[in-house]
Amino acid sequence: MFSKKSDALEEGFICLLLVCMTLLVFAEVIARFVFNVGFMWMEELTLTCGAWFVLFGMSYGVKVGAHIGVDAFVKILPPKAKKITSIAAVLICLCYCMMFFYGSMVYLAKMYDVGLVMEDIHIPAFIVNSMDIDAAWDIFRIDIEDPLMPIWIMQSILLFGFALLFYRFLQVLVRIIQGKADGFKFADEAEESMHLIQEDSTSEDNNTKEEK
Amino acid sequence: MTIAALFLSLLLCILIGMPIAVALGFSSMVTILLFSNDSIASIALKMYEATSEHYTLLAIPFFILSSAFLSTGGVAKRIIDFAVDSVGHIRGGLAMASVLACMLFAAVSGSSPATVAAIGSICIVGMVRSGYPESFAAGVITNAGTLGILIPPSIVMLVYSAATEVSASRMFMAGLIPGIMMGTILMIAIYIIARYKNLPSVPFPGIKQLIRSGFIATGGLALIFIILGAIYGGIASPTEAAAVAAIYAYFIAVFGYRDIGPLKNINWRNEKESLVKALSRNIMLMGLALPKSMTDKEVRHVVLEGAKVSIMLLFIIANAMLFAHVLTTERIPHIIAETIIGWGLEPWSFLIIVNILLLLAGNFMEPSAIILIMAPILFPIATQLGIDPIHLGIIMVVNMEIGMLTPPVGLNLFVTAGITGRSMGWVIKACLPWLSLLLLFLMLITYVPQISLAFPEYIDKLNGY
Amino acid sequence: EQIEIKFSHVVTENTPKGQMALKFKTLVEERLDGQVVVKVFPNSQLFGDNKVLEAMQLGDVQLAAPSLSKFKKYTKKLQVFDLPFLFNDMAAVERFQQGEHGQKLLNSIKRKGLQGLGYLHNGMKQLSSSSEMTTPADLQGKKFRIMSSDVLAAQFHAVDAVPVKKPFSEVFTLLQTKAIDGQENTWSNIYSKKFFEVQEHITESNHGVLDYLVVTSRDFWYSMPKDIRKDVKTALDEAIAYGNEIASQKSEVDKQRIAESKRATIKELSSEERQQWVEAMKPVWKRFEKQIGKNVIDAAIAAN
Ligand code: NA
Ligand code: NA
Repeated sequence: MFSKKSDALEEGFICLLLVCMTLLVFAEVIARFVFNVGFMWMEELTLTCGAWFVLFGMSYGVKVGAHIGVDAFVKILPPKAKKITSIAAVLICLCYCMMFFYGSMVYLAKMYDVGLVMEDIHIPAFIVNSMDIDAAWDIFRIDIEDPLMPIWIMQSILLFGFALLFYRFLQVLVRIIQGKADGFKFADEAEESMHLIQEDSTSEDNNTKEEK
Repeated sequence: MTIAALFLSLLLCILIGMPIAVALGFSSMVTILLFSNDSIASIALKMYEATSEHYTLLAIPFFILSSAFLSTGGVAKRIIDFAVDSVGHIRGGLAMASVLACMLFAAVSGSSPATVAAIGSICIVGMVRSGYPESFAAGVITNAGTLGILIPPSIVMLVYSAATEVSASRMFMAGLIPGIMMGTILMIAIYIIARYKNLPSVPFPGIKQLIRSGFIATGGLALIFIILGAIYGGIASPTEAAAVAAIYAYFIAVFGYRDIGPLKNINWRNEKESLVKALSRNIMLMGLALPKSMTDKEVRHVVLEGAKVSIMLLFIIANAMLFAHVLTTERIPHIIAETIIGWGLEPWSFLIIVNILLLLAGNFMEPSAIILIMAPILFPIATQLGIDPIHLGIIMVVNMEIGMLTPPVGLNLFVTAGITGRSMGWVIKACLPWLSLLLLFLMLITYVPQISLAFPEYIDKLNGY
Repeated sequence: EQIEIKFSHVVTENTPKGQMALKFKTLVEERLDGQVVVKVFPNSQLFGDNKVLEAMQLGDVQLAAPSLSKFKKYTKKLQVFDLPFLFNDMAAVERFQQGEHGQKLLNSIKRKGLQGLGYLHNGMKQLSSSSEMTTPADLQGKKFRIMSSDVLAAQFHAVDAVPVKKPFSEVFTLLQTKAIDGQENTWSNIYSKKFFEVQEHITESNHGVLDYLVVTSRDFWYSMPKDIRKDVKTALDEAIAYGNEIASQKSEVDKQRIAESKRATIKELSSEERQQWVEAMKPVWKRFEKQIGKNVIDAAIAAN
């Protein structure tokens, strides 16, 4: 139950980011062409959504097997060698995540220390007004006089993203060790289709609920 | 030593089946940590920069999203029906029409993967349904999609003209004839193969049916005119037009054809319903459907499909940028290029070397990165040897086209693998025969400068510059 | 132990900035052979202008020269250089920069761990557009591309034009298809980015200055032994002077090349015409007086 909810949340968030990017750029065109106005913050917000989209989505890509690799060599190996090779590959992937996670942590910590802010994205006035001046700076590194979004918040996706990616690769590792999969993609197609069938039945449930 | 570490670790990572993106990122990071004193934090910073500072790359997810809307549901089916009705009776007609579609699309998009993304899913499915082998269909589209950077507008050409100070509009004009020529060559090749291999054709359904299917397909076909209009009508840049295209595709699929989403199976006009009543009913329903489609399962599924392919691509691109970053900071392309230039070559042999160099670079790097590094090195020598800068630019662009099709970093390959769900090996094999055609074309462009230069010179003469 | 200075910039090596960086490298390695090495990374090979200052904070880049407008999240004081029609010409800019207030501004980014080392010229900005511009009223309702800067936005709002923020990579096509009407830039940028090919009219407005700030991180700068630091600074000053010389020549040459191309007509402003612009822009000066400091603005005016 829990995993289904978090699945929906994950997928929903990815869709939301892609839709936001699209709508922001579209709105910018409409604003410029129809209403003859420009908004400074739109470009930066679009690009930030783009970064979140990739860095949040990369782990989802592992989960659904969307990332492309070359399996021509692994395929021809005998089962045992194949398993060992795949385990090595996943271990390197985990190593990749850890290095990026560590690097991101150092980077964001520095941004927090210095108190660097975004270029154009302001914090909404109602949030700023409800903040205590000292706490805003001491805790969040927000300068009430000029309330721009701190970089460490806007780019925190680096941390979430690589942590999630680590978790997804760990799942792959467990599956390979258990023999449920022999690479980065689901070996067991049946499992995937089972998942789909379940989804369909829940959607029917939802429909009937709506009708009532 | 550094070079060996970088390439060997990349090769090893790819061989053991790691995702290509992670293989690129990991080998770059290891090389940086071993051989340079950059901090691990700055690599994370570089990663964030690669995902957040490249506005023009956003065209890729937007075009993928729009083609996701067009290819699910019945929009694509209607376009394919129309295409089959109009050119299906010619042997190879559908494949040739697909090339034409790529050429048209290249005129609105400045990037090659975006062109494959937009045209690919519809045309490949269409050809397969009409009885073409899937590898044939995939090969045609993946290759024709490279025209995205040769036919103007082109991001790569803008980068070249900024790096060498040659005129951007002349570069654009110079790309037009080669672009049309390459498209024509592809179509001729298709026709010959179609005759030889006896590819499928269907009987002509008659003018009446053609007009009917044309009318039905208008909503989908209009997309290309909306994008063209948005760019050349001075409304949007190519990147922005991609977002407009995605929004339009959503509306036409959900509100126009109603194959998916909350309005599915609701008629525009019920039997015996008055026009006024139908109109008011539709307006009310559409008003309700707009918020409803946000939670609609089918709409979400389409967006998610688009997101999956986009994420895969953008993640590879971000890591490839990291890889290019290592290559350039270690001055690897510089060293190779400068050695070769030291040989003191004749113009014709210089051009061969330029091509080999660029083809090699095209294996591992993004077009813009290659141009930024190589153009300043090659440009002065080419000028000395009497090679026209515009000609050199077109040679570079055609090389970049080929780079889109060569592993390990070949974006068009990834897009096709993403939309067909096939393996990289399969896609590479499918593209190979067409790639040789592109190589032939490269030779032609290299040794017949008039192909590139005639048109801009003619226009300049007209304008009296 | 050898000190390594990585100089990261975003333009090609044949530009004034690129030449300045190479000159600096030569001078340092001549004078401090073995003690200090300089590595120059052009073309955003290392980092783009938006991220290079962050990399500097991390200690991975030691020298950079982003344009002054890029410092808006570090200090409000440097906005003085964006104020429209404040300086009459490059000579006035130079006087202000070398004067007391200009030199003080180098320290304005101290609080964020950075240190300005000197001003590198690009040149005065000109207005280009698809229609003629003589008086401020000619800009009414027109869309102009700007960099992210509150002052530049206010500058175009002051003449009822519409400022639009767009990345550099998009500007050429937007201008070509007339999705936006114009932009502001120096002669050398208008030439190298080919904007003159798609803009019929350029007004030689000299309305603002687009200069670079050569910048380092304080942590790095003060970690160098005092004598070496002094030598490095001297070399840098000489390199900047050299770069500025090239910049002013290039500005002239590029203006000439644009004029000769006949693709754009260049309009010069008479002093009466220019005065209209100055009057139209004075409210902008007033608006940013608090952030920049009245004494700084006054010093800038006095430098004319
Ligand atoms: Na194009
Ligand atoms: Na390639």
